[in-house]
This record gives sequence, C-alpha cells and structure tokens, in this order.
Amino acid sequence: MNYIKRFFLSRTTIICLIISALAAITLSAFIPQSFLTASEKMLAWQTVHPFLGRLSELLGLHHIYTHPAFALVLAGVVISLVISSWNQCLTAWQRTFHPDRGISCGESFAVPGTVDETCLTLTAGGYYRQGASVGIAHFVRHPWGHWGNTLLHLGMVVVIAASLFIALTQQRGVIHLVEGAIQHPSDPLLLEEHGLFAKPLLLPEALRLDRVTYSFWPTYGVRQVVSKLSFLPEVGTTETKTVEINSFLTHRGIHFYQGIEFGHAFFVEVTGPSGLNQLFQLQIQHPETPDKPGYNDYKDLLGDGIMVRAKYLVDAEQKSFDNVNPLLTLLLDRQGKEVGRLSMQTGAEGAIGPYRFRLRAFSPWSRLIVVKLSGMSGIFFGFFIICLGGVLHFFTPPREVSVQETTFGGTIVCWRATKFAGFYLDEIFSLKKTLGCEESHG
Amino acid sequence: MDKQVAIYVALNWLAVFCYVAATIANVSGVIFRKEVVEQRSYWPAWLGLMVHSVAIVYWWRIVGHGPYMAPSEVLSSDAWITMAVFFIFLRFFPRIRTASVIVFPVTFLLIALAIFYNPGIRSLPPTFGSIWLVLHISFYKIALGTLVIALAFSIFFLLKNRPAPAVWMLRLPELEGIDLYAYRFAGFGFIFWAIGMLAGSIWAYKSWGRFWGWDPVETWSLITWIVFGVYLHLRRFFRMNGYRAACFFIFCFIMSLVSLFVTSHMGSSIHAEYFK
Repeated sequence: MNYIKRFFLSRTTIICLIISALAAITLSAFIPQSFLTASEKMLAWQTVHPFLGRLSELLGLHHIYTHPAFALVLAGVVISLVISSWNQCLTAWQRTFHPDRGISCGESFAVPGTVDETCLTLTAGGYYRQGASVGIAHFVRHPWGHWGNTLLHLGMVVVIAASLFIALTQQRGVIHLVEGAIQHPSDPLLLEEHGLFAKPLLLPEALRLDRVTYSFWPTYGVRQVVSKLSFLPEVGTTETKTVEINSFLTHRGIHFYQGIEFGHAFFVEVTGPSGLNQLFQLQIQHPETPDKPGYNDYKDLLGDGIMVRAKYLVDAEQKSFDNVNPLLTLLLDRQGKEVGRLSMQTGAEGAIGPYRFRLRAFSPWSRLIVVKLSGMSGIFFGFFIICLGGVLHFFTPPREVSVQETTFGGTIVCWRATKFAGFYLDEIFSLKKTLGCEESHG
Repeated sequence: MDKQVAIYVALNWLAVFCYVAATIANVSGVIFRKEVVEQRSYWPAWLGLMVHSVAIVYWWRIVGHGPYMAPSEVLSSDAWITMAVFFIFLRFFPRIRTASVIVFPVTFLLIALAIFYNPGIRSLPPTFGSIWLVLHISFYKIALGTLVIALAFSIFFLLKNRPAPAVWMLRLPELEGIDLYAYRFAGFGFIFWAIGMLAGSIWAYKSWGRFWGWDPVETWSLITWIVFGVYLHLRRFFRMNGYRAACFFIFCFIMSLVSLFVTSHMGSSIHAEYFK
C-alpha cells in the first residue's frame, strides 16, 4: 500500500501524468475529434492528411477523450490528486493546529520592547497568536495560507469527478420548432446526446412554441431572441413560460435554452412529375442584413437526387427587418448543375422542370436546446475551491513569528515566511520599524 | 459618428504619446542610473493611464458595451489593464519597480497596435450580454498583466545572467530575487487564468447549457493553463530555476499569447465573434 502511495506521490509520476494529459489534449487540438467534427469534414481532413488519417485510425486519435489510454491517464491523475490532497490536508491541519515549535528561524532580530509589548504590537499588526512553548510566544499571519495547496488540488478532484459524472449521465438534444407547432414526447430530438449511463432524453410532456420574438441592433446584429412556450400535460393545466438567450428556463427538471438560431420556415407544396402532392417545411436561418439572403440546402428532398437550394429575404424590397414580407427563391441542383430557379412570395406558384411549387405560408421558427443533467454545482464548487486554494497559496503564504526573552532581559523576534520568503523582505523591514528597531528599509 | 471616432482615436494617440514619453524616461532613467528621471517617468505613465481611461469610458458610452468586441477595443483594454495591474502590484510589492522597463513599452505597443485597427462599432451578440462574460474576459486580461510582469523578470534574468551583463543591470535585484519574482507572478497569472476559465464555463453553461465544449479557444486555454501548471510543478518539485526556468516561462508566455490572440480567430470557435 505504501509503495502505491509513494508511486502516486512521486514527483516523477506527477510530472509524467501532467505531461501525458497535456500531450493528449494538445493532440486533440490538432487532430479533428469525431464528437466535434461532421463526418464530411472528417473525411476531407483524412483525404488531405492521408498519413495522419491512417495513424489516427490506428491509434484512435480521433476520439482521444474516450480512448482507454486517456482514461488511464485521467485515473492516474485523479488517484494522485486524491492522495496528495489528503496528505496536504494532514500537513495543513498539523501546521494550523499543532505547529512544530522547532521551526527554523528565517531572520532574527532584537527589539527594544518587552515580550508582552512586542506580542501586543504583533497582534495589532495582523499576527494571530498560535500558542506558546517554553518561554516562546508563537504568532502566525495568514494561517489559512497553509490550506491553499490542499484546496487547489482538492478542487481539481471535485471538478474531474463532477465532469465525469455529468459526461456519463447527461441527456441533451435540440428542437427546431415553428410557431404554433407541437413537439410531442415521442418525437426524436435533433443532435441527441446522452451519457453512457443515461437513456435518450424524452420530454415529460408535449411542448408548443406559441411565439418567437426577436430584436436587432441598428447595425442588424441580433439583440435578443425570446420564445414563449406552452407545456401541455396529458392531465392538468397548460403552463406557459418564456425562455430567452442568457436566461434559461427549467421545467420538471429539464433546462430549456434559447438558441441563437432562428428564422422563417416556409410551407411549400410540391407537385411532382407523377402528380403526387407533398407539403414540405423549409426552415432557413434569418439573414444577417436585409439585403443579404439566408440560405439552406436540402439534399434529396424530392427523392430523385435533386438538391433543393433555398434562400430568402425577409423584406422583398431589401430595406428593413421590420417589414416581414419574405421572398423565397428555390433552385434545383442536379449534380452541381442548375436545373432552374423560382422566386415566390406567399400564395404564389411556379414550376422548375417537371416540378410545380406553391408557397402556401411562412412562419418564424427558433432553436431550443434541451438539457437534463445534474452535477453542475459540483463543477462550480470545484472551480471555486481551485480559485480559493490558488488565492490562498499564492497570495497569502503564512508568515510565522516567534518572540522570546533573552537571558539578558532583551527581546528577540524570529520571522520567517513558509514560502517565497524573498518576496516578503519588505515585510521584515516594516515589522522591524513597527517594533521600534532602528534599521531602515533596505 | 466620424467626430466621435476622431475624438476616440485622438485620445488613444494622446495616451500613446504619454506612454512613449514614460517609456523613454523610464528606460533611460534605469539604464543611465538617473533616479530622478526614472521616478518622474511615472508622471506621464499616470497621465497616459488617465487619458486612456477617458478614451475607454468615452467609447464604452458610444458603442454601448465594454471594450471587448472590436480588435481595437480588445487591445486597448489589454494595454490599460496591463498598466493598471502593474501599478496595483507595485503598491504592494515595491521591489518589482524595475519591471516597468518591459511593462511600459508593452503597454504602448498594445495601444499603438489597437489604433491600427478600425474602431468601428460592433453590436453585442445576445449571448455576450452576461456579467459572467465580463468577468471571464477581465480575468484573462488581468492574467495577461501579471504574466507580462513575470516576463519582465524572466528577461531580466537572462540578461543579467550573461557573463558580462550591462552596468545598468546592477540596479536590478539579485539573480535569486529576479528568479523568485518571475516565479511568483507566473503563479499569480496561473490563478487569474483559472478564474477566467471558471467564469467562462459559468457563462457557457448559462448561455448554452454546456460548461465545456472543447471549443478551440477553450482547448488552447486549458493547454496553456496546464503548461503553466507544468512550469510551477517543475519549479517546486524539480527545483527548476534560473536560466532554464526563465526560458521555459518565455515559452509559456508565448503559449498564452497564442491562446489569447491567435486561437480566437479560428472560425469554428464560439469566441470568433469576440475578435473578428
């Protein structure tokens, strides 16, 4: 047991673990990770970098964070952190409550006052009495500084533990809803993700988007997006709530976030060559300015290898966003070649090749991010402990002072900083001055 | 609008002028051992900081958001915080005074660089209207300020450690002291960087429900933080000091510049909005 403990506390092990974690994260910054990169982009990267692509496939570098080697490094880091935090905790406890009276003295100097007078001055100067041994009074300034390292490392343990818990148990997804549309609990979520120990997220009850409102800055940048939602339980009353960017809402343990994506959805009726009538909903992102359209492509929407490329202007006259009078343009693309294009406003119709289109209506849509997770408080608590520990460690290293009477009746003061003593030389000069020594600032 | 931009640019140029005057007086005071000149170099530095503050507040009122959207605003506020952080630390640790030889020129270079960018008005994206974003950005800027001080001492060490250092180097603290100051300020930077990351993760959670998304900027920020962690552990456990520590710190500092200024330009990053 002791061997294992020594192994994980060995400075070589610690530095190797940190460097391994660093190397893994750095690799992930250069090699596209499958959980972050679309499959087309991943394929493109592998085509451009064939050697790296093969290497990445062989070693699993495109999924570093789920790689067994990374799990091993992370486990090593956690074990090392836990053991060192415990050891540091014991040391901090010892130094705070049972300090070693035989501490080495950093600098000693004689002061003119008596021991009692010196003790009073020290107390007034922010030094805390830490008890006394035979003939010696002990003081400490910033005793909490002993706990800095402990908290710094303990915080990391808490953050890693909470992150793992969240990664394993979280459920999330995305909903794109048009005004008036209902998302039923059985409807699948877009971009659904769930942890290893969790099932796909299901909404507890149906959700209706009642209204989307958005506003713009004078420069046409988006100022705010707000969605008014109604929760429709099978039994009971409907609840209406609002979600906006930077102000999420929580309903029955599920958090709803307003996404930045919104725009207009167009209901287009298409009559194919066979005479079959279909109604499609084309959701397009809101344009950035009135004179530039918003775009979206729909691969194989019509089922015969033709891509429908759609764009729209909020105001057909391209003057402002206030006047919502959209102009939708559809372009049919067969293997990179334009088959034809058609611009329509509500109620209008036209044909491209054998297809006939009619724009029946339009309506605003918005994206909602749906998240169910627990453990966030652990993350924030851990981060807080890290920051607190860092502040205590780096900003308030304890300074110890002992006062004793010499055999000739004088008073001797011993001062030392537990860390970074050279950085606090000014404090010795200031202390000497306060205690009435003649020496001036060096 | 043109008049407002002209006033803002003029104020920035005035601040640059003050900082340049401060730098010339400071560097010559330190190098030629003219104590009075060195002491008086703080007058134009303070004046520059005041003019600079007025410029930032003035532009803040015009654009309606803090100095963290357009590149000119970002660089200008970086310069302001670097100088302010130096003055604050100088109040508590007077022995870092000579770091002004690096801090003053860095400040005027940052604000001068800011002037080369068009200060046009950038509207604030809705996700940027959070207090956590302001804290997130502020702490990274404070971290940069402390790292510049650590950089100054690392450079001093390398200069003074040469076989025949310049005479003015004798005015600097002993090598051991210089090394210690670099170590301490790297530690301060490490902590401020951590607080910046914490505030950023809270902001992300409140905006998107995800406290960490492995965004390129987040990843590089974490890499930089761990590199600083390696530096601190090497110093503490492996007694790395002196020349090797100074060189390693300069590498860490370059990493931090990459994280702060280069990765933000990556188009795939959420942070791309911040420094377009």
